[in-house]
Amino acid sequence: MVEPAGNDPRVARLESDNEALRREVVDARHSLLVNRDHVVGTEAEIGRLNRDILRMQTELVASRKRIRALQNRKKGLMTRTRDLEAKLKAARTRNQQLREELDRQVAARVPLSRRVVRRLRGRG
Amino acid sequence: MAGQASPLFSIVTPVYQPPVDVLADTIASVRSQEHTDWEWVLVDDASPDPEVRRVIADASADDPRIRLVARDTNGHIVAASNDAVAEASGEFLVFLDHDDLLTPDALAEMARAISGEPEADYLYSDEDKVGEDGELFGRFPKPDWSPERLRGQMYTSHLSVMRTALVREVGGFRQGYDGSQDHDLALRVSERARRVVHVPRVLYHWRAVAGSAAADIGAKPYADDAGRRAVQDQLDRLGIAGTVESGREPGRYVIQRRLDPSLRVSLVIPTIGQSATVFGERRVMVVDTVRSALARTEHEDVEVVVVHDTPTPPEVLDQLREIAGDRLVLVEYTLPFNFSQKVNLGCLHATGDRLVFLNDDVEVISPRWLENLVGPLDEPDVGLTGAKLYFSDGSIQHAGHGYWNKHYHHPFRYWTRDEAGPFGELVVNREMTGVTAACSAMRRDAFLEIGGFPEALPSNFNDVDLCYKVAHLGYRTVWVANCELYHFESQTRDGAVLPWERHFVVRRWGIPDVDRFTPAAVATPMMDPHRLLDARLAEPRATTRRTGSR
Repeated sequence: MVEPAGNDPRVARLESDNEALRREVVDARHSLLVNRDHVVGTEAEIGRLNRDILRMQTELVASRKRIRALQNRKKGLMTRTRDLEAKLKAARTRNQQLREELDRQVAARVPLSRRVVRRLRGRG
Repeated sequence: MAGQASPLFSIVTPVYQPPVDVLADTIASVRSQEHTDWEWVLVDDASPDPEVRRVIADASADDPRIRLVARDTNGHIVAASNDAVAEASGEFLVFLDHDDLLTPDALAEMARAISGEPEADYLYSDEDKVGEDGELFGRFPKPDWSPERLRGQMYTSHLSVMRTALVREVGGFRQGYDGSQDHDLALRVSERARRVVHVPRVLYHWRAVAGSAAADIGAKPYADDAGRRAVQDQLDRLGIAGTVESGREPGRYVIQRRLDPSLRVSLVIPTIGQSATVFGERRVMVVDTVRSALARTEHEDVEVVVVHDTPTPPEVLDQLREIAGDRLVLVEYTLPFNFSQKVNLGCLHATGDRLVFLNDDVEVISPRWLENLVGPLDEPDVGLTGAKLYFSDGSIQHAGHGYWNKHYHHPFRYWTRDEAGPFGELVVNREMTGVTAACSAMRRDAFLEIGGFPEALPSNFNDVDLCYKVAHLGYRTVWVANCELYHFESQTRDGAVLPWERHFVVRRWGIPDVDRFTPAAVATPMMDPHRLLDARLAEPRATTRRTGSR
C-alpha cells in the first residue's frame, strides 16, 4: 500500500530539507551580494584615494617649484644683503677715516684766541 | 591657439534671404575667429534679394577662405545643407545658420577639445540667444553626452561640430525632415560616433528674432512632426521597442516603451504595513501602492515581492494577497530596520529579470508607468532608471538627483507638475547622475554586479551610493519623465541625516563638485515655496510695475 504524499513523513522531511536548503542558498547569495558591495566600494575608495594622491602630488610638485623659486629668491636677497653689508661696512670705514681726518685737522688748527694773542704780541 | 596639427574646419551655412545687415554680422563673427584654419561654404538657396549674394561675394573677394555656392533653384534647407557638405574639404564640419554668431574663440575651443579627445566624432557646446538689440540671454548650460535626452529634444543643437567623413558615411541630411534635419543628423551620427564630447562653454549666439525657432519653439510646426519621425526612426534602427509621441511643447518628444510580454518584472516593496491619512482618507500605504502599481500597467508578468517587518498586521498581508493573488511573494524581515537589507533580500527572493524598487508610500499616477520605467533597461548600457515623483500637492518631490557643490540635491523640487522646466528638463527623459530609490528599476544582472544596496547605510544615502556604483561600472542612469507617482514621503519617513552616513558616501566617492548632467546653473532656481512667497512679499511693487507695463 502506498502512503499518500501529504502524509508521507519522507516527503515532509524532504520538503523541510528543501526549505532549509533554499534559505541557505538565499543566505549565501545575500553574503555574496554584501561582499560584492564591499568590493565595489573598496575599489571606489581606492580610486578616490588615487585621485586624491594624484591631486596632492600635482599640488606637491607645484609647491616644490614654489619653494625652489622662493629659495632662489631668498638666495638672491641674501647675496644682495651681503653686498649691501659690505658696502655699508666700507662706507662706515670711510666715514670713520674722514672723521679721524677731520679731528686731526681740527686738532692741528691753532685756536682763534691764540692767534689773536700772537698778533697782538707782534709775532703773527 | 591652434598649432600645426590642428584640424581644418569647414563651416557650412545654407543661406536663404537673411536680412543683409544680420548676414554681415554673421560674416564678421566668422572672420574674427582666433583659430585661423577654416574654410566657409555658404550655399545661397536662390535668395530673391540679389544683395544677399553680393554681400557673400564681397566677403569672398576679401577672404579666399570664404566660398559662395549659388543654387539656381530653391531646394530648401536639406538640399542646400547637403550642397555645402559636398563642397567641404575640412576634417570637421561646423554648422552655422545664416543669421547666428560664433564667439571669437568658438573654433579655437573646438580645436582644443579635439586635441584632448582624438576619437571625438561629434562635439557640441553650450549656447545662448542674441536679441534684435544685440543683448545676450537664455544661456543653455548643457549636460554631458546624453543619448536618451537627444531622443527627447534636440539639445545638442548649436554649436555642433561633426567629423566630415562620418556625416558623409551616414548620408548627410535626409530629405523629408526639414525643420528637424539637424536633429535627425545628430541622432544618426551619434549612433556611430566613437566619442561625443560636450564643450561646456557658450560658443554660439542663436539669433532670436520674431518668427525664428530661437524666439518661439513652436514657430515651425512642421519641424515637430519631422523631429518625432526622426526619433522614431532611431528607435526602429536600434531595435528599441517604443512609440514616439509629440510632447507637451513643440520640439519635445515622449517615448512610450513596450515590454516583451515574456519578461518578468519584480516589484520589490519593503514595508511595515503602516497606515496614514492621504487626500483626506485613512489608507494602508502598501496596499494602495500595490493596487495602483498593478492597475496602471498593461504588462502582465509582474511579481510583487513584499518584504515585511514582523510587526506588519496580518490583515495587511491578507489584503495584499487579495490584490496580487499568486503574483505575491512575502518575505518576512525580523531584524532591526535596514532599508538596504530589506530591498536586497527582496531582490534575492525575486524571480524577475527586471527589478523595480518601490517604497510603500507611493501611488502610481501615470498609465504604462512600468513599461516606461523598465523599457530603457533593454539597452545594455542603461543600468538604472528612475521616476518623477510628486508631493501630495502636486509639486515635484523628485526629478532626479544632482550632486554638486559638496551636497546631494533634489533639483527642481517644488516645481509644479505642469511646468516643463528651464530647457525641457522636466518633460523629457534624460541621463542623470542619480535617482531616488523610492521608485527606480534595474536589470537583475546589473544589480548583482554592483552588489545591490549598501547595507552599511540602513536609512539615508543608500540610493546615492547605489547610483554612484551604477556609474562606476559604466552604466547610464536614465530619469523617466513619463513615469509619474505620488510619494507621500513625509507620511512615513524621518528625514534626519547623520554625519557618518554622508561620510560613508564621501569616503567612497569623494566630495561632490560638478554634476555632469544637471549643471547647477540650470537647477539652482529651485526654492522652497514658503521662501519664494517671502521673496515675492518683499518685492510687491516691482512685480506690479512689471505686469502693468505690458
